[in-house]
Amino acid sequence: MPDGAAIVGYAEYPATRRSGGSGLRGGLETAADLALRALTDAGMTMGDVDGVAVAGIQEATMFAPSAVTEYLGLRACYVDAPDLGGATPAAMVWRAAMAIEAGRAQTVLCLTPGAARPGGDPAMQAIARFGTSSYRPGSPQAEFEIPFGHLGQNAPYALIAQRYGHEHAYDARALARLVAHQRASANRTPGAIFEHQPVSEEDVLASRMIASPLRLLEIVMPVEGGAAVVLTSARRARRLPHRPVRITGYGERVAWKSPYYAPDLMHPPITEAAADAFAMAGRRPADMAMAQIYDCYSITVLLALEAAGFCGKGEGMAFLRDHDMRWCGDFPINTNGGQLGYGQAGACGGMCHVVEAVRQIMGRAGERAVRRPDSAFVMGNGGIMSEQVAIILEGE
Amino acid sequence: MAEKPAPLTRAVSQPFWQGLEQRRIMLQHCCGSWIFYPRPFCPRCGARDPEWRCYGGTPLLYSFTVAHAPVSPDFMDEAPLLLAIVALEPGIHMPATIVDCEPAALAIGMALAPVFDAKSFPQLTVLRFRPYLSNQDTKFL
Repeated sequence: MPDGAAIVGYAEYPATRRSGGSGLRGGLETAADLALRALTDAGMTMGDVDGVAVAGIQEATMFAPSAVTEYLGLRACYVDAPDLGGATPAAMVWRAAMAIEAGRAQTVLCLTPGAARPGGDPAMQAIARFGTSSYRPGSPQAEFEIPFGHLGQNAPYALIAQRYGHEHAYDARALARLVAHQRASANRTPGAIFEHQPVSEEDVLASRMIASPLRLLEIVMPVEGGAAVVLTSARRARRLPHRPVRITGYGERVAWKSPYYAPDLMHPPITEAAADAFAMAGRRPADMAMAQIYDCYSITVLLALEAAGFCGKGEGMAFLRDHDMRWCGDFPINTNGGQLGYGQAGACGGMCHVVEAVRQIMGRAGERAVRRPDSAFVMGNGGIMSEQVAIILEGE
Repeated sequence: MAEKPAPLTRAVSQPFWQGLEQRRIMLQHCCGSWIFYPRPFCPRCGARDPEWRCYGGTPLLYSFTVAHAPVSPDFMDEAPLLLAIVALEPGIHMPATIVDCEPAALAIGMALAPVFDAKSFPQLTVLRFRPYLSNQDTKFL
């Protein structure tokens, strides 16, 4: 697709501990600040923008897109507010690319402020008690899950990890190696929450067991932050300051909300999503210079590597043992540390993988630059491996 | 929180909940397989109001985790919690908790037996599972 869409600019806040903050308040102010920064980065202005995708706009439980278009002074022909949990940023990006390819929009902002909600927010009270599970009448979660302790993310992902260990061999040290390698990349990432804290395999293996077999250091830390990207046509991108990062392939599957009823947890949605993305791009996993993979947990990355075809089923642990996943290694994964190393700023978490891929391909990754950063596999994930997105990015 | 959040049951699943009161596992069956969770239609073929039957199979442990950290404020008193996915038959799974079992004894693939728990919630009997032991009768809590 010679004249598809490209990402031409980005903005990203450093990760801070909750209540650190950027001084900005709420979703609208933060989204606007990120938009202006990303546009400046792209060499564009708000006047160029005719589309916007949003998430995490806490001021608006409904009508979030129009709250943002009003705030920014836009009259948008394309808006989007995907509801795919952590996969939302990746979902925004491919939908915006498709809109641009189809001529439905020219320039789209994808905005993911990662600000904490104010104390006492009613939505946060439900989340504090039930996580993202629904205790509304009629929800299967209210009937069969929450009353029995099936809620949150830690235990559900641990259930998947345990099942993996039954069907294949479980090597906790291989996963610890992944975490340590990502942390080494985080140590070269200004703004990462763990920029100044190295971690070894032994540290990971000694960290507190949260839900067997997953330990504390294999689990993402919530932070405050935020990020945004700007997409426009590849044709226009060639006239802008940075190397165009073309979106050459994408795929998505939305399978379940809860993992408890899925017939085969070893068949995550990324399987078909990645196949679609590679087919569209005319590429194979081995063609990728790097992988930026949603890493709420170490096991998420492992299953994605297998399901997306970077290695065969059951070969993931050996893959992690045999490769160097640091920015400088032979198979770079999450070169900014991923969310495990950078921190997860709420709905913004998955955007850090998009931004890092773009940053690397544009040649702006400084001390953690990947050799020949011409392509990236980017993976989004939401829920409990419930909904997953694959995007192929290639530099011109 | 003194009480755990109780199951919010639906009209369509009343045969399941009433069955537990009678120490039976009542489930819908269609297209040669069980259906979980209950719905007004078969998720495989779309047929309305699938037939209810009494489940008499051997549930197997599909996966488990020992939640060492409390899973939520309501479950501070139940750590470690033995959380499970139970296979009613291959490919048909449900969430559950395991009782009467040391964490170290949990093994994926192990046979389970139902436990009809009338104590945990005042209005309802709920279903839990324990390791199957051939010399034990159905357990009532």
